[in-house]
Parts: sequence; structure tokens; C-alpha cells
Amino acid sequence: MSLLSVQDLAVSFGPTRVLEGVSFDIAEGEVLGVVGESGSGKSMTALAIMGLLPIGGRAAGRITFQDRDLLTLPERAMQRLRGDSVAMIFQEPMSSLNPVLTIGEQIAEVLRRHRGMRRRDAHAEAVSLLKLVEIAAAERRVDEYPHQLSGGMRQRAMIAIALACRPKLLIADEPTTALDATVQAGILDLLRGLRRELGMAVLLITHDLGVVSDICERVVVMYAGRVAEAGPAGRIFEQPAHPYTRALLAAIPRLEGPIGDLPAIPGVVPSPADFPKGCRFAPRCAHARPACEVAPPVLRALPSGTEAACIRAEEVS
Amino acid sequence: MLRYAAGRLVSALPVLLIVSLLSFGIVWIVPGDVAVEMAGPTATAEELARLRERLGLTKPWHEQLIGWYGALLQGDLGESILLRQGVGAAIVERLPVTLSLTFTALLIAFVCGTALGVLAAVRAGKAADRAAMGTALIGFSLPDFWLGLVFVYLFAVVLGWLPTGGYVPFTQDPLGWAQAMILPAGTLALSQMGLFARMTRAAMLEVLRQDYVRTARAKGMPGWIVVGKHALRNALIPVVTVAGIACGVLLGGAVVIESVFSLPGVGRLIVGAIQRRDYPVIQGGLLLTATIFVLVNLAVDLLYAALDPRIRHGRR
Amino acid sequence: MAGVEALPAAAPAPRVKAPGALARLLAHPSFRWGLLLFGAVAVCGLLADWLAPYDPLRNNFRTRFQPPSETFWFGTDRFGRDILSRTLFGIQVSLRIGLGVALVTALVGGAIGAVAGFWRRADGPIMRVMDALMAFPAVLLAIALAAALGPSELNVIVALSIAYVPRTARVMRAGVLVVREFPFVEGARAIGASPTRVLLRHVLPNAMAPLVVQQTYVFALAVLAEAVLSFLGVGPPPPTPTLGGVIADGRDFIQEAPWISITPGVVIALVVLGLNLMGDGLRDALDPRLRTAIR
Repeated sequence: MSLLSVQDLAVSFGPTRVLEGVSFDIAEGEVLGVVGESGSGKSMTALAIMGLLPIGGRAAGRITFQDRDLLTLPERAMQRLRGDSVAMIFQEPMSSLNPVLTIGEQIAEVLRRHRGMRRRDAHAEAVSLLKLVEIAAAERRVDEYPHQLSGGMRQRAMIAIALACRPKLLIADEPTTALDATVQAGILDLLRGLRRELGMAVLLITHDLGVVSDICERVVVMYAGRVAEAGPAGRIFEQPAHPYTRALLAAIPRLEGPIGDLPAIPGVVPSPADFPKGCRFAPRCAHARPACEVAPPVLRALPSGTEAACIRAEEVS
Repeated sequence: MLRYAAGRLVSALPVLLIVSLLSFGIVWIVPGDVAVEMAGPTATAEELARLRERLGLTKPWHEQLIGWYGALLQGDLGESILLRQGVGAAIVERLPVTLSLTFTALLIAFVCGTALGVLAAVRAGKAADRAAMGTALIGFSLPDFWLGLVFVYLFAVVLGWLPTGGYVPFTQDPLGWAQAMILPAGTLALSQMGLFARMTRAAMLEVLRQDYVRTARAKGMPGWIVVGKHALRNALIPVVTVAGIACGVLLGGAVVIESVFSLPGVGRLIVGAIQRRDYPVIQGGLLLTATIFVLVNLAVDLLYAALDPRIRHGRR
Repeated sequence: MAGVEALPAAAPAPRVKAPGALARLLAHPSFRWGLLLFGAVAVCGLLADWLAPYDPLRNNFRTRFQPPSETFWFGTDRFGRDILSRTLFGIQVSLRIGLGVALVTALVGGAIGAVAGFWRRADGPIMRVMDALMAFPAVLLAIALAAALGPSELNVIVALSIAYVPRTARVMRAGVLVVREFPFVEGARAIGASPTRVLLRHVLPNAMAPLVVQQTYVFALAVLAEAVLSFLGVGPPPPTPTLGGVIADGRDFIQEAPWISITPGVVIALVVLGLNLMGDGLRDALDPRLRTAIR
């Protein structure tokens, strides 16, 4: 029984479909990585789950969370869910915290809203949450404003806000991208530890396969608004089936390998207005055949243990 | 915070110095003889000489200036020629009327203006937005003194709901004060309400796009808290800076509104003085109004710091 | 959004006379409506000599306090003068003064703002004086100045110009401060152009857009302020018909003859509304980034 089940999710802005046919499951306590370049639709997927699509965005399909379809849930019920059993942290810790409210207030208001805590209790709980995310001198920091904190500390504060109500599912949208490399490792360690401690499921969105290999159990690779490949992290890294996954993996710098040019993927992700008719990766794919451009390939199980949307998956791998 | 406040205070000093110089200098631009203009064409040579003596016009200009500043430092603004009263005393007597009119108007303008602006921003592009912005535009396009007359005609003459004018001190009769204030303050507020509405709308649209508003929604905050707490607190920061300038405009508007509604305030004192060429009162009135403006803006700067923790801590 | 904001830094700021600016302007609904309102009133004023049914100055005691009728569309005042005729001629005065103030402040305020923005050393002292002038409520300062200078149309223009110059100077200064950092200005300096030449040839033409927008609003403010001055009796001297003056004429008779004051007030509102709409349209058409910066 999965905690969250996304089935055939599509998101469109007016006539433009930025996302279609996206399906995946997350089990309780599982860490799922969603990987792709910018423009692949991974953030849009997360926002659709939260019911926070930008103005004009419409979602179709099914998003089942604890037996409830989030897409048909009224806004009030969604509000009770957000920040309580589903929480989200964002890419930019600099701009994601409200500059005119103290860190403590921003944590405490979640507790007051969802747990009905009183001001004093919520403040005390905010301090222990800051300690949980390993912020030093939490008693002092709780009354400080975001601009008084470093980038890494702000992201820790964001995590504290998200964890305030012990969510069943944490959605982390590129939580380390905006941070220095050394700080990144610290945040990832923290997330891994907290996940084990609190037993929550994590949907980790990233463009960095290194991060994925670090903490994810299963991976969904997205390209141009569709799922390209999905499967257990180990299988995907050992035996990627989709040419796009292979290209992504080849682009990871490795400490042990020979120092040379990283094979970058030629071209860019097409914009939703001019997605190709067939396989959307075909124009950039070294293995493309005329057949690839006829119809979109369906996601299918492969003997290698992953699912991939590529008609030539067997030949390529 | 203290250092910030001290810094603002120090930077206000040169402005106040120039303000006092300009207030005094207004007599210098009067073409011809100030005494003749004040006393009128029928005055005798002896009367003129006495008037010149009283005004200090017999002394060279630099001595006049030193005398003005000397008296000013002792809180002396000179003598009114017509009222046979100290200018300072005449102004202080009328100040409560003007201040209650100005600040009531400021309050009305701020509250209604920001409300209109928030409404417009939240419903951006929809009918409510257009209605709110249309109201704002009409608000600062109507001549307020004329609107005051129309309101007097409507509410006092036709409907008989409110007095046509006059003032009741708040301490004497709060209800009477409110009745006497609602029309003049409402009229005066209209133009600045429009500006507050525009500023608030622009600031809110900017703020509603920010990541922290999305964070607030991701925390499950209901819409009115997202808008009223997370967004508005930030959007008000630029709006509050305009409050100081609005206060100046309102002080200027009060001059004519007081005349329309027969309120015995500083504005009517100054207008009377201007019509009868009572220069000491004009000088004192100008100086006082400008000083109030500078002080209000100082207060606004401090309020600004209170709203924005980044300024309070000396960043930015 | 980021893309839109990143663009103008690379390209020079849009110039007032840029091709297409006029077409864009006329396509803007605010500007079109504003032009229509303002234009209609202005044409009526300009054609007052032909349109006015009566001499605006002639007293006629037999027609005192006539309510609006077929003979006197908007009634008459206590001297039996036709309100419509007086209003039409009053429009002329308002437009002359408004335009005069807009032009004088553009020249003087523009120059002051350009100097303050371009030469750092001049900036402090100039802007302190502007701050001090701004400390006086513009209307009050104008009333005092107009009274001290003596009643005449020219003096009203002078008084209002002094009162509104700081706003224009501030807008110009802000524009120059932005433009002076543009690469092509650096380039002109690098090839050895004199500072005056750099200012006049390269900086000013590109800092004009905000000024044009601001002066439309100043025009509107001046029309409003002139009405206040005339209302209080320090405007152009009688018997010149002014809109504020006609309102003042009707003030004591608001119970018995409300039509006297109402007509000129509506006309002022139409002119100012038209100018403000035009200003909004200009602002959007010339530079959308100005949305919050002005006024």
C-alpha cells in the first residue's frame, strides 16, 4: 500500500501541456528521487501534488494520498493537509523565508495552525525543532530574522518549518542546489538522518544524480514533461535503459575516472510549446531512428529491472 | 536602532535650516515696499514708519535674519500685525483643529487606500481590480475643495444629516467632534486614498510573486493569513514611506478644506493672513507646517525601521 | 519575469521618439480615453470665443441667479453672468497655467535634476534644497508665493513652478543616475567626450521618458492647484474668469444656487482625469518598469 500514488498526471497552462502521463508511487518511509534537467517538469509535479500550481495551471489525472484524491479535494481540506501531513521545502532558502517575521514565528504559526498550540508552547516547540535540525544556539536563533542567518542555516530553518508537524511525506525541491558544496553535504546528511529518525517518506527533486545515488531508494527520471525511466536506484545506476538516463549518468564528474571533458548532452530541453510529436528526447538522442518520431514511446518493464520509455531500450543497453 | 534614529535626526537638521531660511525669505520676494502693501494705500507716513519699526524693516537684511533666528531659538515667531497676538500663540491655539483634521484624513486615506489596493491586487485583472483602481483614479482627479462644497450641499443642505461646518473639540464632545470631522476629513482623504491604493496594489502584486508567499501557502496557511500577514506586512514597507509625503499633501489640502468647512485651524489662519498680508503669520505658518512635515517624515523613517528588520539591523 | 527585467539593461532605455511608441500609445486604452476627455475639454476651451453664448464678463442684473434653463444651460451667477461662458473661458486660463507650469518645471527641474544626478559633488547641496522645498506642502507654498508676488497669471505660473520643481528634479535625477551607468555612456566617456557633451548627447535623451510621464502628472496637479489658488483669491485677478474663481463665486450661495459651483468643478475633474489617464498610458507605453517609481 503506497502512501502517495500519482497516476497519469497532466498539467496544462491554457492549451500548453507542460506535463503528461506522469505516474509513480511512494511507499511509507521511502525516499524517491525525481531527476531531470530544468524544464523537465519535476518542480511542476511537486507543485501539483501540493495543490500550489501557479495561476492558470490545471492538473488532471489522479494524485492519491492516504486514500484521498488530492486533485478533487476542496481547497480548505488541502490547506489542512499542507504543512501537516505533506510538507515542502524549496530551492531558494534566501527568498523562501519571510523577511519580516522571526524564524520562531514562522515555525510556530504552523504548530498553532495545525496543532492548535498556544503561543508559548509553539515557541518552545520551535526551539526544539531548531535543535532537531542542528542549529547551534537555537534559543537565540529562534528570535532572529532570516537575514541574520547564513544560507545553510536558513535551509535548516526551512526544514524545521516543514518538519514541525511530523509530516508523512516531505517534498524537497532542489534543497541543496543554491548552497555551497560543503553546506550541501551537511543538509543531505541532516535529511537522511531525520528521515530515518522520523520515518517519513521523501520526494527528493534534483538535477544532480550524485545527490540521488546518495540517499534515494528509487528514482524517476523525467524529460520534457514525461517520465523517461523509473526503477530502483541501484538498477538505474548500474544498468540505465533509457539513452537520456545514460547521458545524464555520463555527465556526472567522478573522482576516480580520468580527468577529461564531460560528455555534455547536445542541445537543450524543448519548451512545452514545441514538444516533438514522438519521443521527446529523439532530437537530442544519438540512437534515434525514424520510428522514434512517430509516436510517444510507452513506459515498459525491462529485464534489467527498470521501466523505460524507449522503443530501442534493449538494443541501447 | 538608536544609531539609525540619531542618523536620521542629524540629516534632518540642514533641511530644517533651509526651511527656516525660506520661510523668512518669503518677505524678500514681495515686489515694492512690504510695509506699504500691508498697511494699504491710505496709511500715513507715520503709520508706515511705525510698521517698519515693528517688522524690523529698518535694519539691514543680515541683522533682520540674525534677529529672526535669535527669536526663533527662544521659540518666538514674532507678533501678528492684525491679531495683536503672538504668532506662536495664535498657531498653537488653532493647531489641534488642523492636526485632528490632517491625521483623521491620513488614517482614512491609509486604511481605505490599502484595503482598496489589496483588493485590487488579489483580484488583479478582474472586475473588482478595475473598479478599485477606477475609484482610486477618480479620487485623486477630483478637486477636493469643490468636492467639499458638493458634500456640504448634499449631506448638510439636502439631507440635513451633518453640520455645514464648524468645529467641536474632541475633549468636549467626542460624537460632535466626529460629526464635524467626517465630511472634511473624508473629503481631504480622497486624493491620498487613491495614491495609497495604487502604491499598495503595485507592492502587493510584487510581493505575492515572492517565494515566501508560496512557502506560507505550503505551510497550509489560509488565504487571509497569507495575504493579510505574510504578504501585507512586506507590501506595507514601501507604502508607509509614502505616508510621510501624503501627510505633507494633506497639510496643504487642510488649508483650503478648513476654509470650505469653516474650521478654525492653522490653515484658515494662514489664508486669512495671506489675504490681509499679515507677513509674520505667513512666515510662522510656513515654518511650522514644514517643520511638522519634517518631523512626521522622521517618524515615518523610524516606523519603516520597525516594519523592516533588515533596516533595524543596519543591513541594506 | 526575470527575462523581461534582464533585457533593458543590455539595450539602451527606450527613447521617447522611438518608432512605434506613438502607435503603442494610441493603442493603450487609458491614453485613448484620457486624450479623448482632455482633448474634448481643451477644444471647448480653445474655441470659447465661438462657443460661448454670452460675454463672460458682462453683468446683467435682470438675469441674476438663473437656474439652468434653455437660455442659460448651466445657469447664471449673482451678477447674472452666464456660467457656461465663464467656464469655457476659465478652461483657457487653467490650460495656459497648467501647460506653463509643466513646461517651466520641465526645463528648470529637468536641468536641476540632470546636474544633481550627473555631477556627484553638486548632488548633496542641490537635493537638500529640494528636500527643504518639498517640506512645504506644495499648495500652501504656492498660495504664499502667489500672494507675495502679487496677483497675475504669470505670478501664478511662477509660484506653482517653484512649488512643483522638486518633484520633477527628483524624477530627472533618478533617471540620470540610472542612465549614466549604461555601457554606451561609459563608452562615450572613454573616447574622450567632454562631460557636458556626454550629459547632453548621451544621458539626457535616454532619461527623458520618466520626465515626460511626470510632467503629464504635474500638468494635472497644476490645474488642480490653480483652481485652489483662484478659489482662495490669489489666482489671476478678477474679472478674469477662472474655474476656481467661479466655484468661489457660488460658494456662499451653495444652498440657493448650487449650479454655480458644480459646473466648473466637473470640468476641472474631467481635465485632471484626462491628464492622469494620459500619464498612466504614457507610463505604460514608454517604460513599464516605471509603474511604481513615479508619483
